[in-house]
Order: sequence, then C-alpha cells, then structure tokens
Amino acid sequence: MNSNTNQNSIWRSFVRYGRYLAQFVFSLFLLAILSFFLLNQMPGDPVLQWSGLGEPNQTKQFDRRYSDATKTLHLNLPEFYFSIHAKCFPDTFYKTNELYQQDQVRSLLWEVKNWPALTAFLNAEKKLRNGLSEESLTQISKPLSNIKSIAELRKFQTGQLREFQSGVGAREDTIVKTFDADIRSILNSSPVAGWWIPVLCWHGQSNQFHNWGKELLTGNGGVSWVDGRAVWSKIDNAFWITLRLSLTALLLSFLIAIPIALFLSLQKRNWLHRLILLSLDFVFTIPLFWLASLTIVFVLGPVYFNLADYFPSFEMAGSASWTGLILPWICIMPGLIAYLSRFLFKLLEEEIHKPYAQQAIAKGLSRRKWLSRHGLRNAAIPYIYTLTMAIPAAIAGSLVLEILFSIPGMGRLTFMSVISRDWPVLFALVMLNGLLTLTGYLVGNIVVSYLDPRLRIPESTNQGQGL
Amino acid sequence: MIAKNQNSDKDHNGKKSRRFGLWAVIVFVSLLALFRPLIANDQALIVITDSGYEFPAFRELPSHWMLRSEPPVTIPIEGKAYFPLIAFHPQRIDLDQRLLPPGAQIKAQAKSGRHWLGTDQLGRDVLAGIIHGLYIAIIIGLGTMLLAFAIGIPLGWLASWTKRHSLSIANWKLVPFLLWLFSILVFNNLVLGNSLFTAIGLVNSLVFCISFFLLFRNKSGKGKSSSIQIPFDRLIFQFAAIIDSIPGLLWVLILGALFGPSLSGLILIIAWVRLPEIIRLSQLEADRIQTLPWSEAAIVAGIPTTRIWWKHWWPAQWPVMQTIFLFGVISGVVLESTLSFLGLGLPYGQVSWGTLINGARTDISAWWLVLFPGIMLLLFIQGLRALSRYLAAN
Repeated sequence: MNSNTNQNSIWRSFVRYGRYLAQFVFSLFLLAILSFFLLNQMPGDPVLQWSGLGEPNQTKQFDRRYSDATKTLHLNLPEFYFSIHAKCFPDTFYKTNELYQQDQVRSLLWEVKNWPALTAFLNAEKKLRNGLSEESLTQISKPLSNIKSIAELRKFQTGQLREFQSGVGAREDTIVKTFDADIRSILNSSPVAGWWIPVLCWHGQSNQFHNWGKELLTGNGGVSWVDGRAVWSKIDNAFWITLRLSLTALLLSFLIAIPIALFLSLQKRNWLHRLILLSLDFVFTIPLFWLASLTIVFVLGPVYFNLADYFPSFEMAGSASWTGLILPWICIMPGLIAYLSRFLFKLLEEEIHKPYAQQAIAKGLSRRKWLSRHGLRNAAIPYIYTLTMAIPAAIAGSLVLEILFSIPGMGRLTFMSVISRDWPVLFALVMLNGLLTLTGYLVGNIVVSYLDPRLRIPESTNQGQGL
Repeated sequence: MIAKNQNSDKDHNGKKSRRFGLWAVIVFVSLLALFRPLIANDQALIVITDSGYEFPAFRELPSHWMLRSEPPVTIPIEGKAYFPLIAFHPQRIDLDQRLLPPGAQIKAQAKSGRHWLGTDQLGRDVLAGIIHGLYIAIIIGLGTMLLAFAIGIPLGWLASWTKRHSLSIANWKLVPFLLWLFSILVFNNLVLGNSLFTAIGLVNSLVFCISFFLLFRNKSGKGKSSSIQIPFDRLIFQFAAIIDSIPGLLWVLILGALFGPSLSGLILIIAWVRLPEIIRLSQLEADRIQTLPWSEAAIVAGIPTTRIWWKHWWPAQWPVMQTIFLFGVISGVVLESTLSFLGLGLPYGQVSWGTLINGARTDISAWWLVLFPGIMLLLFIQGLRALSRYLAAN
C-alpha cells in the first residue's frame, strides 16, 4: 500500500467505499421488493378499505366506483416489471376483471385452462345480469358470484338455475336458456394445447411496484387507508417525536455509561467492583415493558405515589415540552446504560490483556495513562459500530414506551396502523426503518474501515478456489 | 499432598452438589410446568363416590400439553373431593371475581380457596396463571431456538465453508436440497392461491429446480463432476442482512397481522427474527474452527464435507452455541411476553405472563397484576443466565 501513488490510493478508497455503497443500494432494493411483496399479501381488499364502499353488491354503480378507485390507487396495473405465468393465462390478466373477482376467475381458469372459453362464459354471465330484471337478479346473483370451481358450476346449473328457470316469464326464460347453453359449452371445453408452459411476460415501467417506489421516493408515500392523509406527512411528525425521545435517551446513556466503564476499568477488583458488575447485569435483563408498567402502576397509579400531576403525559404537557418525556427516559435508560457500560468495560478488558498493553504497563505506564492513550482509542472502533447500530434499534425499541405513555411517535403509529390495518403507512414505516438500519450499517462500515484498515473488505477474495 | 487432595475432594463435592442442585431446580420447574393441571386446577384430583374413585384433573393433562385455550366443562361433584393445592383453573373466566387483591377469600362457593396472588380483569387466578405461563414460556423459548438452530446453524456452516472452499457434495445428496426447493415452490403456489398441487405448479417447480441445478453445476474437472459452485456465502449474508434490516418487533407485527394470532405462528415468527443472529454466530464459530490445524487435517484427509460439519464442527462449537441457545430462549420469552402485553401475541384465551401484565392496563391500581408475573419473568431470565454462566464455567 505504501508504494502506491497518491492518486492510486484515492481511486482505491473510492472503489472500497463504493462497494459499501453498492451493497447498500442493492440491499435497499431487495428490502423494497420484500416489503412490496408483503404489502400485497396483507389481508383485506385495498380498494374496499380505501374507498369505504361496503361489500360488493353487483350493481353497476358499485362496479363503476370500484373501478374508479382501483385506477386512483394504480391497482389496475401489473404488480411487477415482469411476471411468469402459465400459457393458459392472458398477459393482461391483472386488468381483465375487478380485484374482488380475480380470485374467482383465477381458480376457474386453473380448472378450465382455456381463456377464450372462460371469457365467453364471463361475457355470457354479464349478459345475463344485464338482461334480467332487478327483482329476479337478486335470486340468482349471490350463488352465481360464489362459484369457485367447475364442480360448483355444474351443481349450480343442475340445481339453482333449473329452479330459477321454472319461476320466470317467457322473455327471461330465453335469456336463461342461452346462459344454460353457455355453461354447457364451458363444461365441454378442452384445455389449450401446451397450457402448462411457463411464459415470461415483460410489463415495463408502468407497474404497481414502480409506482409505489416512486411515490415513496419523490411523492408523498401514498395515502393512508384510514383517514386519507398523505403517508409521509403522517410519519413526519411522529418521526421527530421519536427521534427526540430515543436519540436523547441514547446520548444521555452514552454520557453516563462511559464514565461507569472507565471507573470499572480503573477500579480495584474488590466487592464493590463485583457488586456494580452484577447489578449492571441484573438491570440489563429487566424487560422494558415490565419496567414501564411498574412505573405507571406505582408512580402514576393512585394506590402508591400518585405523582400523575408531576409527570403529565406527553399530550397534556404539550408537544414542545420535555416533561412528558422524563418518565419514558427513566424507563429506557437503565437498560441502555447497563448494556453500553458493560460492553465498553468488556472491550477495555480484552484490550488490556493484549501483549502490547501488558508490556506497556510492565514498563511503568500507569493504567490511567494507558487507558487515555491506547485503550480508549482501540476500544472506540467496535464501540462506534455499536452506536451506529443502536440508533435504529432505539427508534424501534421505543414502540412499547410510546404505546404505554401515549406519545404520538413512530412506534405508536406502527402499532395503530397494524391495529387498523393501514398497510401503506405500516410499510412506509418498514421502509424508513430499513433505510435507517442499512444507513447505520453503511456509516458504521465506512467509519470502521477508515479507522482500522485491517477490517476492510479484502479486495480479492479467493472465491471458488476449491479443494 | 494430603491437604491438597482433601481440598480437591472438597471442591469436587461442592461441584457435585451444585450440579445436583441445578438439576433439581430444572426438574422441579419442568414438572411444575408439565403437570400444571395437578397443581392448579378447579377439577378435583380425586373424587370418592359410592361407586368408586374418579380422577378428573388427570383427564385434563393432554389438553394442557396440547395448549388448548378452552377450560373443560365443570361437572357437579357428588361425593368427597380432594382439590389441588391451588383450586383454580388459569383459564376459567369468572366475572364476579374481577380484579381481587392478593389473599382474597371466596366464600360463596362450596370449595373454599384463596386467590393468593389476586385475580385479573377477567377473574382468573393469577397464581394459577403464572404456573400456566411457565409452560408457555418453556414451549416458546425451546420451540423458537430449536427451530432457529435447525435452520441457522447449517446455513452458517455453509456460508463459512463456501467462503474458503467450493462445495463438494455428491449428486445424490443434492436430492434433499432440490426437494426442499421444490416444496417451497409448491408452497408458493399454494399460498399465492394458484391452486392446490395442480400439474402446472408441479411442472413449473420441477423446471425451475432442474434448470437451477443445471445452471450451477460445475463441469470442470472430471474427478469432481459432482461439485457445485454457488456463492452460498453471499446469498446467505444477503438473506441475513435483509431480515436484519427490519427490526424484530416490526417483523413480528407484520407477520402476525398476516398469519393471525396463534401459538405455532408466533414460534415460527420469533424463530425467523432470531435467524440472522444464529447464522452469523454459527458462521463466525465455523470460521474460527476452520483455521484450526485438526480441522484442516480433516479436510486434507478427504473426510466428506457433511461429516466434517456434523462430527467435528458441531461438537467444537457446542460450548459457545449452548450459551447462545440459552440467551435466545430468554429473548424469545421476553419478545413473546412483550407482544402478549401489547395484546398482539397469543390468541385470545391463552394465559401467559405478558397477558397477565396486560390486565393492569385496564386498571392501573391493580399492582399485583404487574408485580408477580413480572417477578416470575425476571426469575426465569435470571435462572437461565445463571445456568449459562454455570455451563460456561465448566
């Protein structure tokens, strides 16, 4: 490395950190795909939930409003850039029917394996619905829309349809008869040749995933299904509150934990030392939700201290005030302090048992001086890495506190969006959390590899040099 | 010399007695959890009637082990009955006795008994609930970690191995792997609602599996025609990084909303959250072991890869993994009780420490609902930590 020219080393460091950056972007892309896949799998019909239309009732007005809402939400587009499907499916299956009918059509198609025949049948069904009067339609509409398989269709034809046919007038009788013939033709249809061949279909940029990602990156992140507000504006407020809660707690804990670790490192190994270590160990294991519940019951509850007047809730104290955050801090900080101080102490202990430190101390360097000149500096590398990891973890960890102390931060927003099935908000939060975590990795990796060249990714790996 | 001998003898005895004490505690706790219906139940242990003896409490054991959330129907007792120590069923809802403080006596019933630790917001006895919660904690802790170990440790080995060597496994050993892939694809078809095991799903899966196999087969070198070249290490690290990039609690919320509340689902989800950590630690340990002389000697001697993993790596990394196992059990139980506390974990009707503490959210003067289950949780955690410390010291 020393023999390299300056320019060369700049290029090398660019390549080195560029790799971290490439890894970051790739991971983020994978995370986005995963989140989008999960978002699509979540229970509930997005259009019904967003538009509040109520259950499908087979009226024309409903269908029109439903398809309008589908267009507004961009759900009439393919899901991804490409799709792989069996040959018996049409390329544009995603827009041939309304969303709430697609499961039914799909399961029928899997049995018939013949798209033209099924289309003819669906058109016949539509014709039937248009031809019949409202009154007689109500008798047959529900069983018709519940048919999910060929066996059910056959049963419908021989049972309910016959029954219905016997009770209608001459004009409707002919309509039902043609429909009966249509059912017979689909029952007799044979599968398309080579229906099982997998087909790759390219849909291009106008797809749901692309729109979702674009909306998250440049737009307002979509709309909430609950109150119709823009997702990012909902998250924006909550984010700063959470940051105020958790980042301050984290920094305060660092400020307290570092002196404790230094004290432990310099202190003689006597009973006090053991006591402090044991109590730190104990404090670290106390579950956060239990500590918070204890605080609420004993400090705020009416039976014991009843100090609710001194510690007002976040909303009562006003969002600009800090008094609402004191109790949450008291709950979250002991664990953080215990973890951080024990970790630094362990790192310093490992460092001082290394040969160089032992030799320096044997030659007369005092422990205190060794600590300030060498120990802290060397222990700082893994410690900084922990800090960058701890920020997203602390933000996620504030969930319990925010729910218990009713602080309108990100954790509570997450909880509420799960409770009310508000998936766009939930997955925007997932992406934000993922972004923070991956940024933590990125910054941590770059800082650490800058501080300690030994920890850099090796530039050539011995990939595939087998036995 | 004699004194030294005596000393070591004493040490040995001390160790022995400590080990005995440890096993005694473990056995006691497991018996308590397993035979909860004989200790806390509103069914009688023995009923003496004119016609003979009956043992209603024993009949409940299977449903306890299967974790059914419905308590059995009580049948009026004729004759002399002997009740268990705690005469309450942990899941029996009794709205007349809501939120009773510790030590409250019931008078209105034929069988007298005290709620030693009070009752919760649905009138269920807290002490019985705590003992029942012990069983749930053990099931969740063991279930999650066994699952995470079974998947995570082999993946860690694979990652560590492919970092240094290409994988050389006989073709026939790939069959289970392909079957696994195949089953995932079938499952995929199932979940996506395409169809149940239709021909199309099977054919697609087969085509995918075979093309995957053909694409990555290494054809160079006639002697090793069966070795494959897939960058498993990168794939596995990427997999772990993706799971890690969403915080554990968020994963549990998402997957819990997707699959609905159930105990087995919760175990699967917590195991999924633990997976990256297990993979990483297993891979680190394997990295360390791989560079040891005896491991390299085993490789040079031509011992099959999978045999090296099972017979040599696993015993060598067991001391570290057992600590990780215990810590994983702890964090699994804490995660479960946090979720149950938030009302998102266990299905309605199941009693665990978290659901008991949750009761205090309806009435913040009910301090006994927070204190006692929490102390039990803390004892459980500290006990496991003590066990891990003991195991590490030996």
